[in-house]
Amino acid sequence: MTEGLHQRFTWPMCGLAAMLLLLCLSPVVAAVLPLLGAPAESITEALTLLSSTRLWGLWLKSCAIAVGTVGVALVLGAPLGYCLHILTGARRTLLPALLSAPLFLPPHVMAVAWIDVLGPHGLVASWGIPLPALYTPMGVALVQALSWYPIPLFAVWLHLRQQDPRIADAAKTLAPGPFVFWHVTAPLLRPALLTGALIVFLLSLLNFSVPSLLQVPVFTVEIFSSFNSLLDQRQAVLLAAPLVATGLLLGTLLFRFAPRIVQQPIQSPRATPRTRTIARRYAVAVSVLLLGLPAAALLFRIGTPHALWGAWQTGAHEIGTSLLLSGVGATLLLLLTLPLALQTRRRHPVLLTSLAIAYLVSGPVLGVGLIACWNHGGVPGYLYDRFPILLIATTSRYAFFSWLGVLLVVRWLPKEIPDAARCFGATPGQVFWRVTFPLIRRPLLALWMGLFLLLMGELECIVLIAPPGWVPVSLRIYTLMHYGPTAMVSALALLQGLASLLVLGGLSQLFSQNRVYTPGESRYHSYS
Amino acid sequence: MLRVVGLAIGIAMLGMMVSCGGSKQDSVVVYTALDEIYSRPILDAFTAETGISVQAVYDTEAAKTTGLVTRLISERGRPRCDVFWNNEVAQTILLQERGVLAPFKPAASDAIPATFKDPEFYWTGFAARARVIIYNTDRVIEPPTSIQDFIRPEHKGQCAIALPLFGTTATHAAALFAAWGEADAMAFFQKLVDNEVAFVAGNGVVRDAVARGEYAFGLTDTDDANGAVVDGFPVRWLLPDQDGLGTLLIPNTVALIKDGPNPTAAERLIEYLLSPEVEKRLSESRSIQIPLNPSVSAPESVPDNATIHTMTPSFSEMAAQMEESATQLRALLVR
Repeated sequence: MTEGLHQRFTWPMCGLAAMLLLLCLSPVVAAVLPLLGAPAESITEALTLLSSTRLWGLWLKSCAIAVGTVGVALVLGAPLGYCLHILTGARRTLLPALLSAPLFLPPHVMAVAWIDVLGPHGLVASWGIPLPALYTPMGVALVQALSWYPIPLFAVWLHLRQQDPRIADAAKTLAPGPFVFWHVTAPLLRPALLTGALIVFLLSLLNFSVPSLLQVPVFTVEIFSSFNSLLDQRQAVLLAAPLVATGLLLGTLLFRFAPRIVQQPIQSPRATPRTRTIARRYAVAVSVLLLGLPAAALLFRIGTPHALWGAWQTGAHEIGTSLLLSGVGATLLLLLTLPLALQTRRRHPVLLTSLAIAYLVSGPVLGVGLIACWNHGGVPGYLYDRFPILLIATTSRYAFFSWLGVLLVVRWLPKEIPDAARCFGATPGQVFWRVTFPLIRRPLLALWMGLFLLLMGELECIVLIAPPGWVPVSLRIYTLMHYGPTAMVSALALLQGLASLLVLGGLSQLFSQNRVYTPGESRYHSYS
Repeated sequence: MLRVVGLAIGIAMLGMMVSCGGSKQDSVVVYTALDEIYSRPILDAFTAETGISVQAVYDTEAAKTTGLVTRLISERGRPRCDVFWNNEVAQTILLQERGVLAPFKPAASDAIPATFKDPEFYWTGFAARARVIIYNTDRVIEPPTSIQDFIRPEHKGQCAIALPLFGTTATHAAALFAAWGEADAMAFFQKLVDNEVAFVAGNGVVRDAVARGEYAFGLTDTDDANGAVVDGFPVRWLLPDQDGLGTLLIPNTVALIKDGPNPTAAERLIEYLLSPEVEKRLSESRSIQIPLNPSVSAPESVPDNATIHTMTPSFSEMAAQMEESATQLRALLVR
């Protein structure tokens, strides 16, 4: 009976799902439609290109870079997530904020900072330490991973917080610690690792800015050059097909073989003082190294506080636009996806695939589709000429990540509790605000923050549609990078990071006050 | 609390949707590919002089994502832009061929030489940049004087140019295709590859790499090269091939968008951009753009258009080669 309650898809929910699908798929369809009217020779030309070994060599290189990025990000991020988990009260310290800092800056800015540190004429080379070449596919993978390692880190950390340590305790009575880690903890982590890996893989596959800075041609160059050099939008759309297929195939395999997430009440972690000391030292050392070096490079470029003030004076409006876009956008994404996820608790392959396609077609293709959809007279044109088009664009592009996230969040919710409330006559609003929301507010906040940061870094889609006067700071930074990594670029990047930190830090504080019982709290601490 | 936050966000969104953005009276929308630090002060000065507010969308050749040209083509059905101020010419001609531009003969265009404007007045050129060789004085004793020096064996692995698929380097590649023919041009680029010339992300990257001494010399634009000189890096620049092929001059171009929302204000802006004051201002800026109007006097550091030996193919011939050169070079270089 309760299962039935959760799987019922009411008419309002059908309407919401239809709206989400329309929002995400309409630009894709609008971008693809011109292919139908394309002259045969144009299609033949594009198909010849699609069958060329050069193109598939590029695809292979892009995939290899994405796999390398995933590998390095997992190696860096997963142990740090585990360290955060065993550090009691880590969530109240600066450590999570420090470790997540690379996400606060656009990857191309981080790339510039890492070039200053690890490049052939960088800081480390000046100490006489030999380094492998940075301007290679492996260098791209390394630099991208240094931007995105917080994704697996937080996936692991949040997932471990959901686990019941009684499982590990029970295992410890039968076997030594390492056995417990490899045979109990690690398998339980697989869903978090796979989700983190998928997100990093997709981000890497579609990234253009970092490979271009490091002079490594990748598959996305084909799409961009079709747009910019050949002015051939049809070819660009066709060239997006391998990326869409790759992402969908990988996602399908992952979801098919990934185990279901274990629903357990959260318990406080317990570790020996020595383990905690080691974990703390390791986490601090890594955060100092991975944040301190690029931050030092950025600060060195900024030079004086005057440059920072100058950047604030010229870029305050763009930073405000970015904050507004990211804050409202992340909220809108949750408003669109959370009710659906709460109602159905299922992936819904059609919905998931549709949302994934909207991301995988790449930003420029989606941007062209958005122009075709919204640049008309009447209400669409009214929205297109103003700020809402940025919201529409980011919602279309990132709904996939929001849907993935809310599915994870609602699976952490013990479904019997809201069902019990319903049985006692609570209205849907009461169930949500008094039962469901208090139970999921922490993972929901974490998801909102993740979406906020994704939207802060958005570049490829909005470059085509940003209305005059509404330019986000990520776009301004990339535009200014034409003059090289100047003090202004570094200062704006730093201000963007600080602004994000302030918003997210403030929200964390707000949510940590007036705490109510959640499954993560310490009701069961005394069982040991 | 959260309900209050939600309500506030909703009200803020509604306010933005109702009040902000969009086309206003006495305003003009310009898409400009000229670097923001140079174009913004000029647009501000136009507003101060005329009272017409300018809503600008900026882009750079190095952004090379999809850029303003793709946007203009996509918006063709309902143009939101009035004036396209491009920092080069070939893509402006391609926009003309796609029916995005409208003819307009500004009075100020009379002073511009015929080579630098469209005979049917779909676009007019002004304030050119030259493609130049930038070299590091710490690494180079005898400066290169020709783009052929990039393929000399003694310079193997020591030179850099931007990927010739984007920006002015793409225009330069198309110019070589037009000047030499497809086979010779491709042979030249193949030799560049064989000589381990670095194809980097943009002209700014070429400038920085040479300034840092990572490469001995490279090919870039006058504005980038002069910027490195002004910043005190050990670099100099020169006009290549003054005894042979000639140097490529690439003008800014300004064009009226067909069916743009503010045609009257757009025409005033075009007239303003083509005025001698703007050319003078651009020549005095860090970008040292070369005035095309003979009546404009420029600082000594700016090359004189009248004395430069320029490449012979016309801009329309170059534009005609853009697609072919991009297709061939993509196959050669992007792998």
